[in-house]
Amino acid sequence: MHRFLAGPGGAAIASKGDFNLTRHRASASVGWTRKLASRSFGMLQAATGIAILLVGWEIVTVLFRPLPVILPSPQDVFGRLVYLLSTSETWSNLGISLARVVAGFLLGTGSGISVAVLLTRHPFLDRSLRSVLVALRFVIPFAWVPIAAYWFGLSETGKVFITWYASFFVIAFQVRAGIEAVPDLYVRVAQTFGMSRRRTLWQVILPAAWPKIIVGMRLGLSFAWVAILAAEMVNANSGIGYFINYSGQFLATDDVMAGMIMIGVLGFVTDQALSLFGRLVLPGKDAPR
Amino acid sequence: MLDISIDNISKTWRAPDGREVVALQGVSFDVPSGGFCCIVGPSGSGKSTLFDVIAGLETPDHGRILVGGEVVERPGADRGVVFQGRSLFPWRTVQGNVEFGLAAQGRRKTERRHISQSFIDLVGLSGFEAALPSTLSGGMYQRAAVARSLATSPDVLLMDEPFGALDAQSREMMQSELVRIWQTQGTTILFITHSVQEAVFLADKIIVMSPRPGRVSAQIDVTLPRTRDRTGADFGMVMKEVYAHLTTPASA
Repeated sequence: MHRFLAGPGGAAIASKGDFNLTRHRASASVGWTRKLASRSFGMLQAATGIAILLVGWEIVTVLFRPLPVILPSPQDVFGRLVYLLSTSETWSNLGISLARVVAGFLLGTGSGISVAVLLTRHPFLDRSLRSVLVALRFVIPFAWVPIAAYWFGLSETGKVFITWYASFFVIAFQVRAGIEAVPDLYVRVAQTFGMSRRRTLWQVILPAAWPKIIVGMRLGLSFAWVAILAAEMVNANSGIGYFINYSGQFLATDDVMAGMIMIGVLGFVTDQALSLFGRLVLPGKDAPR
Repeated sequence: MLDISIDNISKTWRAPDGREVVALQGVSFDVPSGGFCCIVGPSGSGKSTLFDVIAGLETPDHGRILVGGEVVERPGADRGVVFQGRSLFPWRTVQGNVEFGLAAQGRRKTERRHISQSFIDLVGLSGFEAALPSTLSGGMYQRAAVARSLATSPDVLLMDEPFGALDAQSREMMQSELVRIWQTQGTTILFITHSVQEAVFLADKIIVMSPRPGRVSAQIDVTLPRTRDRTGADFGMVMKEVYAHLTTPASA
């Protein structure tokens, strides 16, 4: 039973290592092609969903011939979409909405993460503020639109306030949950290396909570999109929400639906960009959830 | 390389229901510089509490820990720690994990690369520098954890059941590897385990602990020549001696 002894053990380990190494490399190359295949398959599935929606829509308009005000045909809507996208006005409306969303979202991310860190570090703050934060979380951003108008008038500050408010709470709560779920063991490891509390936050706690932080940011971004549309419909003279509301008042349902498509696409693109950002910053799919 | 002196350590926990649990009572022993000491004992014998106290993560109620003559008050770079369980940072590569302690010490990047590479080579993980921990087998995972703790060149390595989660074969392989690493590095090692066989294979000195309250019931010097034969008759004799102290209650 000499294979249990230490001397030859070194050699045995090296050979096991080599075996694992080759297997590792092989699986890496297989993984790449498989990843590519599954990604294109995923795109195909996504395209199938869109195709089903369009065909169903077409069938309904052909069968029931609804008035264009009630439901315009896909061709009408896409015709308007192509036309609208050729005008600078549309692009400026999209740009304004995007800017309002991104500004509020970035503020919401910064403040949300900061507040979450403060709450998890200071139990007193957490106990005293939790009830207020939870209660405010249930007050939808839309309820703030009139107040924002009194405070900030028609200015951009009011719009950014709404998108900030919409994103802040969900980000703060997700990040707090993420920080609380960080295994104590990671913090103990950092302690044994004599790492300071501040450094441990940046080097261990926030990276460990990163997947939840990204989830919170994606939710916050989607809430900001929903909120800006509502705000622009009530109290604005620019932006894609304003455009949809304005078109609706003139019974231009095809323009309303073209606006909806623009928002959907823009929301999808910004969400995917954020998700990609999350994976680029920390490639740990396997990070704790 | 520094010696460890455990001097009359006591620690009592207060349970949620208000009762006091004596985790450690008057625990004293010494580990000579460059020695390999294993602590064995059943659950509840205060092994993990003792580990935390030596690491500086907990303070004892009485007594003191001396490492190289200095009193331990907090975690420090003189003591490297290998925990049981999944202690690697899953978002860092093997190399990133091994460099973690060096970054905490503020070492420069080129220096970190150089040092981490030498320890990755030492534990036999060459070629896996860029692998994420989740892709490693159990044995390779703990190799990386050992490399991370050794990278900051601690004088003392504290290990809390590091191989407890491994299958029997990987475990024996890792034990042989650890002896090899210890012999090349000369680090003083304090190793906690449930397994008598593991202790007899690894240690110069075995501290047997008994539960409730946790105290030292025997100190056994192991003088078997290296490399040890787990199936040898003399090996079995030492195991027998350890078991004898494990099963009888503490008399002192």
